[in-house]
Amino acid sequence: MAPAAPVLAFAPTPCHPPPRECGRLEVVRFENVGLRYGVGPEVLRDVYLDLAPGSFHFLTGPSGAGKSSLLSLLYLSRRPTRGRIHLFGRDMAGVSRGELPAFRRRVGVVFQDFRLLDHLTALDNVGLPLRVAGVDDRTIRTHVGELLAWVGLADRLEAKPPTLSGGEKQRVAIARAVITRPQLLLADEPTGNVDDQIALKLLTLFGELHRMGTTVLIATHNQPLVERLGHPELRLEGGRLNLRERRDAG
Amino acid sequence: MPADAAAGPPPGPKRRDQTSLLERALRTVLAWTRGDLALAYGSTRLHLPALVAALVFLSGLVLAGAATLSDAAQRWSAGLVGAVTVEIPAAAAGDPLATVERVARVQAVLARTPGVAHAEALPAERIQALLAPWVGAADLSGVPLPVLIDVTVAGGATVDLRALNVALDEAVPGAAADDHRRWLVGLGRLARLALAVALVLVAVVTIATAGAVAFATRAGLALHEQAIDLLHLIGAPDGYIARQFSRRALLMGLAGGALGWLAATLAVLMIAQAAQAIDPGLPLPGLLGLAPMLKLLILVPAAGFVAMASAHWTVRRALARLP
Repeated sequence: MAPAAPVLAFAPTPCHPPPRECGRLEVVRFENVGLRYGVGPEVLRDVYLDLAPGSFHFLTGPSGAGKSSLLSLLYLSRRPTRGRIHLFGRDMAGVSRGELPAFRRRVGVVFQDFRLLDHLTALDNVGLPLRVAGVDDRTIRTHVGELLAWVGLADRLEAKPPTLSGGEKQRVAIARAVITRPQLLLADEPTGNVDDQIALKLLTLFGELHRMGTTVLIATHNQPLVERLGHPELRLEGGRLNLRERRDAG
Repeated sequence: MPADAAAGPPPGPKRRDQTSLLERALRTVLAWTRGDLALAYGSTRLHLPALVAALVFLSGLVLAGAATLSDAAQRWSAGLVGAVTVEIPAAAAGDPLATVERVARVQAVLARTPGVAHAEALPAERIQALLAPWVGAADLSGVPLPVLIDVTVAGGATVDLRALNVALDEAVPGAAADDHRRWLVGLGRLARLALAVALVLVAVVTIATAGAVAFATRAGLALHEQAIDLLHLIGAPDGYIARQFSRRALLMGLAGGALGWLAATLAVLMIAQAAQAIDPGLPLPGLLGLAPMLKLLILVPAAGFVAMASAHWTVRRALARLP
């Protein structure tokens, strides 16, 4: 039986601008996107990508194929060197720098290296996106406590990352990514540091968020897990993206 | 993940908040000062307030000195404005006119001069006292001394010094009036110059403070690059990140400023005490006291503000390079 979702008090960020561009338009649309670092070769070439609201995709490919680069474009860490990216119905080329933080708050990211702040407790790390969004401390404490309990870290609220195991850090990072109920959830190798059993449970958590309407994109090397869950697979090879649909996709 | 993880929605919060207003206020202050970054500023945590303290100390002393000089000049000016001094040369041997007669002639000229309210010859003892620094306590009774007449000008009136001097010279050859204008102009220029130098120094100190804070902030930005990148990626606006630094800079500026002001005040009080030990009648100790230094307390929030503004601007500039 699938686990029940946590009670998250924060509704997804309202569509902006409402409502025309938020209906069933793609959450993500890439048109002929290319990315290169400096004067090096293109790491992403002619990428076309549509992610419908509430979809669940895996992003696979060999090391160095550009998975992390593609995710970095999605969480607005960098801009493409060519092509257009539409997020939540807005062409990012036309979005001012001052508007970008609002878009970033609608995207939850689980980084490959977790990126937890060592001087903050697990509770403060998970609550960081809420603090940034201006939520008061008491509300943060309540909801972060609930979420950490839900991922099995109820007794580790005050623990700091250096004292957490790899799997615990992973769960803290995931909790931080989902605490704001993002419309788009990105995860870069979220199962890279945990055994298969925990990996399956983490993916079950992502599945729950997906069922609640979140669009999910997970970059992973874990091919057996991809096969097992049966969601569509976006495969990056040589900087180009190919979609592999699965008959048993669910 | 433990077996109980993801096993259904957790219950809602049951805890009742029974904290007092004071406790909540304390928590708010702590939260405000804490921030999301561990902004220890590395070694600058102590160096920066110490540097700000030194700069505020310097500013405090310079401003106190300039204020003292300006105040002294004003006092001297106030004593001289509206006053004219007439000097009657001592009667040379064989002069038919006795000193009394010369004074009477000058008094007559002054009496018919428009604007003169009062004229009074200085007693011989006062003149002797004025000469004391040069001749000491020697007996000057047999020495021919000039007579000085202190003239008070009526309020709002002016005396035509040129016409008065002509009339005086006709009445008593060699008698002349002086309205101390040359002194007043010199004093005013000195006071203005001292104030200008003090203000230039305060401006230099302000720039130095801002520069030191900017340098420390850049070090902090480098030290916390990953944390800043994370805050940026989870949607923190530039202002939010900049506030993490500017709050810290404000606190360090206030601490350094308070320390510097305290040191400057102690130094000024010590100078005042030393001056008073020389001559309790000196006007300086009154100016170099605690009350004028209380006015310079403004340096403390000013140091905090400069530090905060510098940190904020530095961070905003650095963040503008991020996408």
